[in-house]
Amino acid sequence: MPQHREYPFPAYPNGWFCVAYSDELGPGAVQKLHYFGRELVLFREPSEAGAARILDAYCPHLGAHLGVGGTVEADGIRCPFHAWKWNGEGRCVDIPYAKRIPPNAQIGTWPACERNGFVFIWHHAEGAAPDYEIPEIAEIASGWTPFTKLEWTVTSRMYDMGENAVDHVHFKYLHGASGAPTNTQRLDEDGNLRNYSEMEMSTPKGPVPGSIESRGAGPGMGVVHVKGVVETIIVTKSTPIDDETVHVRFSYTQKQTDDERELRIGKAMLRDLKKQMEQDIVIFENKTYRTQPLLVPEDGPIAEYRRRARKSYSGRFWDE
Amino acid sequence: MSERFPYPANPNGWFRVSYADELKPGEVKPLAYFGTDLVLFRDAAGEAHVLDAFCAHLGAHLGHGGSVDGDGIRCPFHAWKWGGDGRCLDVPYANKVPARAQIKSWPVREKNGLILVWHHDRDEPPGWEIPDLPELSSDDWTPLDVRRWTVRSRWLDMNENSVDKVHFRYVHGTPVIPEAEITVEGHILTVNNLLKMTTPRGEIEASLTTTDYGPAFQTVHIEGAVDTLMVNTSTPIDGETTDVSFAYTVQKSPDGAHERVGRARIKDLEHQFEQDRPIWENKTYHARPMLAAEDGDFGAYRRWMRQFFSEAW
Repeated sequence: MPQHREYPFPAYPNGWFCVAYSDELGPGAVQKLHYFGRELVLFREPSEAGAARILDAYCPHLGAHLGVGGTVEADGIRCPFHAWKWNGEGRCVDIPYAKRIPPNAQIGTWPACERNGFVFIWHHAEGAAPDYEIPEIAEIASGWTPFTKLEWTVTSRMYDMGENAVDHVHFKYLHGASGAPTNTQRLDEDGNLRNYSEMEMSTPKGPVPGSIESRGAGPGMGVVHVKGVVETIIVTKSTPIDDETVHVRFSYTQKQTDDERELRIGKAMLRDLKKQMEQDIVIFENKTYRTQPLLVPEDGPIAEYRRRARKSYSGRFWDE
Repeated sequence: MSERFPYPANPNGWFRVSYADELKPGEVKPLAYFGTDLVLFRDAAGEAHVLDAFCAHLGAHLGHGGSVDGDGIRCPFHAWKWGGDGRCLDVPYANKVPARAQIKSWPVREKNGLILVWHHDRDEPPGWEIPDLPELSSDDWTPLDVRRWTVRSRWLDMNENSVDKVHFRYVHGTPVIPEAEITVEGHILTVNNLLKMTTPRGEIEASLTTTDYGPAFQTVHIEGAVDTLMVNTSTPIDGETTDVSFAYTVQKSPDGAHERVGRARIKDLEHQFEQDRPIWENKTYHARPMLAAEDGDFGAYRRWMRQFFSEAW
């Protein structure tokens, strides 16, 4: 693996990024997080419908990590070191041994939201407030299997990995897809990429017409809807851990069915999805980012991807 | 500098590199402290020496295969022999020893059952000495009972606990916050805590006195019911991890009762260490902590601590 790669773009895009699964954060639960090169603490308020909250990890008092031994109470999280209590807005609301709370006692807070069974954090390099929402995935409201969770830690950056979505040529040569799919792409009004491909899917009983529709929801999430033999949805989520590592989560669901054959095909598709990601990771972790790649007309719209993806970053790119 | 600590990894002072009884005459040990490779050996006359590990000749590690030969250590690679002062004493196949052949030799003291080295980032000579502790050479006290840990932290940060009276209540569950009296004399910091202890015979007044001699050698005297002495030492492995050792001794009693109470106390102290450890291993050092009026005197501790660094930070 290269010791050091220089990228001509910032490590962290602006947007909503997945930091946890809702079903792994029960009422009153605390998780230690490390994203955007920082230590953070995630906790859920103690009631069933309690909100998920994200704060900077280190207590402003004497620096203990709230995510290691901190305990949740109705109105905040209590530090394990000297029991200072911080609420979801980052205000100190109790110091059990002190007469007076220092008036400027405040810990950093991060906007958090929960959608589709995932907890998201809002990151913005300049501290701007959220300017879009993570959409509900309407299709999966009912009649779909519970999500299968796949996770990877990849030594790369999101901006570089994201090119894969428009790089339809690599499907043939890296993943062994048969023939180039027809491909139409458009930019939604909200700036997100929508990609629609039709192709023949090979099955033991011969080729079947199929389609893949993918749509972005900011830089941190995508929804891939596969139709053909069986209908599946993959929710892809990427979150920067630090300036050279990305946490990738894929959540896979299939339309409920009693058909043994469809279930089997679904399982095979899941295995294939894993295999493809592992093939991609070898490339991601060892490639460099070419500022001016040598392209042929038949390549995917790489340059357009780059222009569009840049909108998620603050400041200029080094190569501009 | 690391993200967690805004000050250099290695303070200036005396550091334990071994317990004395772990190194027999003629024995050689490789060491990794201060982010540096070192070799420790005891010469034939019984004196302990610490040198930089790598032979000045062609770079072999003297601690891996080197052997003690009289007053020095011989390299396993080409048999050059180095004295405890780091001078080359012999090159067996050469007519002449190169005049400038020298390996860095570290000042060493053997005291209180410990082998200590002096670390100074500008190589200044020792500015003070570790005192002899009479309890450790007295037959009235039990032999040292030694515990060791590798902790993902730095001792001077961990050791703020000694002035942090409030943490006893919330980390260790003492019923009240103890009173603490802090005095600083040069490199020596003393914290005297008065506290109530529960014993089988009821609650008694006890005192716990923590004395730091420089940045890495600490005694804790507990008086009341049974007198206990702890000798706490720590040596930086690298900027993130520290080799920490606590050694305990209690004043003997004819019926062995003190020894039993002492063993129970050691168990309790070990339990307290495990309560502190997750805090230590995950916390950061705030250069400007937000303090409440009731907190301990962190300012006094931090002013004391700064003298062990050559550069301001």
